[in-house]
Amino acid sequence: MNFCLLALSLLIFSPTLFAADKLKNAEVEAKGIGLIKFKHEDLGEPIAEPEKLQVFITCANSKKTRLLASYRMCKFEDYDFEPGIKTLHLSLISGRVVPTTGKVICDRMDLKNIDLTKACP
Amino acid sequence: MKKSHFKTVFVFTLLVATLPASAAETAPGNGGVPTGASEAPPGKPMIHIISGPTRKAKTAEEASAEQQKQMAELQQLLQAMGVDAGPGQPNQIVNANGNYAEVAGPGEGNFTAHGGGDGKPVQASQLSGSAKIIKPFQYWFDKCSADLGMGSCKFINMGIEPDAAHRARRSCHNSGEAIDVGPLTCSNGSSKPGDEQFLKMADCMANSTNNVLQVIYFRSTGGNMIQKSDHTNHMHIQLKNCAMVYGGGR
Repeated sequence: MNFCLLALSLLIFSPTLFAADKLKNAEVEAKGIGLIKFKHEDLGEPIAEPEKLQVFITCANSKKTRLLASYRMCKFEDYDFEPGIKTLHLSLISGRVVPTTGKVICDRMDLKNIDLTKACP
Repeated sequence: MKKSHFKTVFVFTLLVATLPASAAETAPGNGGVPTGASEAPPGKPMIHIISGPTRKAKTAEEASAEQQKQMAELQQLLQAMGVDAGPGQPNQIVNANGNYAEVAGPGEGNFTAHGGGDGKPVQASQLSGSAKIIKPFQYWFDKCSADLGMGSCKFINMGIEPDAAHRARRSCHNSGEAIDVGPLTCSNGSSKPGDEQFLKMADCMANSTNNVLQVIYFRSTGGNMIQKSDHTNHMHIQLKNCAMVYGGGR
């Protein structure tokens, strides 16, 4: 019975299966720190970096919200919060432009790590 | 069997099971010094290596020479892979032909609102391809930079045609009739978005181009210059009569 429940919860919360669902303007509970919020926008311009991602945290102790990081990119691919080391991992796809033709190619994976240990002093 | 008896039996079994493992940690007659995994066969003396053969410490010159050799090997390897990772441009990736330049992908916590990334400046005359914006842009860009006394100018090309996943919005980019222009590097000085000189260039491209071009920028001087607050790190130049289309474009 317990095994079945475990398997079911693993299936439900599997990040690889439901990666698309947790993109965009998600909220992630960072236990002992606060609530992480994403503001993900598709601005469109410049076309080399059409998307924008802002990462905020609302501290559990002070209830204040502050901006942790802001990025411009081609695509916000994925995120993962690692509670053990209190680190937020972001997978962003950066764009590049062929300078002579102006064609935008979005194929560069950019991994960002945000250390949250001092985010809420 | 009572619960307490079961517990006693379990603890005893556990002790018996762990005894040989702990005994193997120290060899007999060894003064209790751990010998690790090695054990001498019976009848043969056990040999302990107290410390490994010492190596002569490298001098600073030797270490430096070795590091340079390793760097040279790494450069050769990267060149063979078609990657230029020369000093001073650690974040820039250019292929063997020098064609690609990174524009997006700001550093940790940075926002390129007024930067334009680390793209490679290009001359208008170097543009090629079938995009409709290229010919009129080349002509008027060179004329405006000369008229404004900026000399010969290069610019950061921030894109003509979007990638396949970003063609959903209605745009002149989708039909190849718009170009995003970032910071300028001219023979008479540099200019970036937010500067007065950049604004003059944007104004010229909008209002001194025979009504052919239109510019979108976060500041406006009127006429063919449209003000939009999200155009802070580049000027968007498009054909005035461009086809604002959705989807795949050309």
